[in-house]
Amino acid sequence: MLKNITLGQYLPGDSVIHRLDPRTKIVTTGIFIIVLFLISSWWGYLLFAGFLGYIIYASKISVRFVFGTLRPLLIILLLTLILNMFLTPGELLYQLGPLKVTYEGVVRAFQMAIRLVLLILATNMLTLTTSPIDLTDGMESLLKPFSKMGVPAHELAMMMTIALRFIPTLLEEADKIMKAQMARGADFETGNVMQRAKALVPILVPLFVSAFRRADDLAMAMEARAYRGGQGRTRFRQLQLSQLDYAAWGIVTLITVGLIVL
Amino acid sequence: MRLSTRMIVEIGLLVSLAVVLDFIRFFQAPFGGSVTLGSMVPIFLVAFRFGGRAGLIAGALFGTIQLFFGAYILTPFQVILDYVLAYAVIGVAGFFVNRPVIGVLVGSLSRFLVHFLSGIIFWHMYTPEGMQVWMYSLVYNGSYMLFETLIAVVVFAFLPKRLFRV
Repeated sequence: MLKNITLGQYLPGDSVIHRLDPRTKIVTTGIFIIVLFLISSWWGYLLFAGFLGYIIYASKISVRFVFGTLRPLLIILLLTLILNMFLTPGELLYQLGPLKVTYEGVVRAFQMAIRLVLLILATNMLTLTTSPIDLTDGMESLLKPFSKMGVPAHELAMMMTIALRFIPTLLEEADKIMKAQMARGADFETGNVMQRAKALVPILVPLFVSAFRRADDLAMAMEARAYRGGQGRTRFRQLQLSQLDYAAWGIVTLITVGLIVL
Repeated sequence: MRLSTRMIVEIGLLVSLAVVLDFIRFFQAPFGGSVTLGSMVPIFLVAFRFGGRAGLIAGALFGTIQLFFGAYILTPFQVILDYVLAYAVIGVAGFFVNRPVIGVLVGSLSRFLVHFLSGIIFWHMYTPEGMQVWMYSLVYNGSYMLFETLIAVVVFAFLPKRLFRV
């Protein structure tokens, strides 16, 4: 049951895109997502796709792999295409029994589908080239200005880091407990939903207990090292905008203006 | 709100556990939404141990982490609704500390309502023909949320009661 889990989407690498500051990547991805919904012409989509293509090329991740991330959303994509094509009223192009394909429908269907693909690919490029820890660091840094308004930026980032750090550990633990229970004759794979859920309860209790035990140890270790929140804390790895980032910002600004004008 | 080291660490670990439990799925709906091994339970625990506001934070973190692992994205606002807000509101259970089962039900219902709204606002084009949009959203989101809630209640009944208090 825990066999086919890929932990996060991040693909380590040493490309220009990988080396960008996470803050640059988060903010520019955000800008592009918003702009994507403002594009009104096909030229705009073409420019967007071209730029995205360049990012994929520059990240040195194989195109096949990037497009593979679309697979879980294939059903949504197909439905978007089909539903928009058949259900948009307008000039009749082709009739198949009760189903009418209209000119407006075809245009709308392709527009929606392309937008969806671009949106998913753009966000996936962020998570493919940025490790979760970098994403968290970037978010903490971006939330810093709000800490005066009561947003616990550092604490949020710390909780996120701890959560991400322990996912593989707890996953392995869950797997170990499952195997231990299976060795004692537990059966998780047959029966209806409720029966299977009930069979899994003997996994849950040890899992919760172990999570609390780890929390105890970790809290103790942190306090022993005088951890006391974000105030005055220093970092081993400082986030710093490089020339690469300024260049990226320049390009992104140009493209954004271009997209809005088109 | 002051967050002590202990709270930071426990919330972090429980969110982590929620993500792990979310990987164990019995049923996966085509456009997102699944029946998991009680992935909401750790968030409920945070809410009961540290109060509703901590529960809201834990839920929002849980939702955000799910985004890193691949999500069903239509528009930016849909993501905020379906991933951040929907999971954050699970935390309202913390305002019912003395009646845990009521808390679990209220938290689950709140999450369902957010998904339900998102279904009407953003997913309406996938409604099968001849079906009302609200009915579609109700059935689609209700199908997995009903089991998800049931599992959460059952799991809660089996957890040692001393885990609810700090």
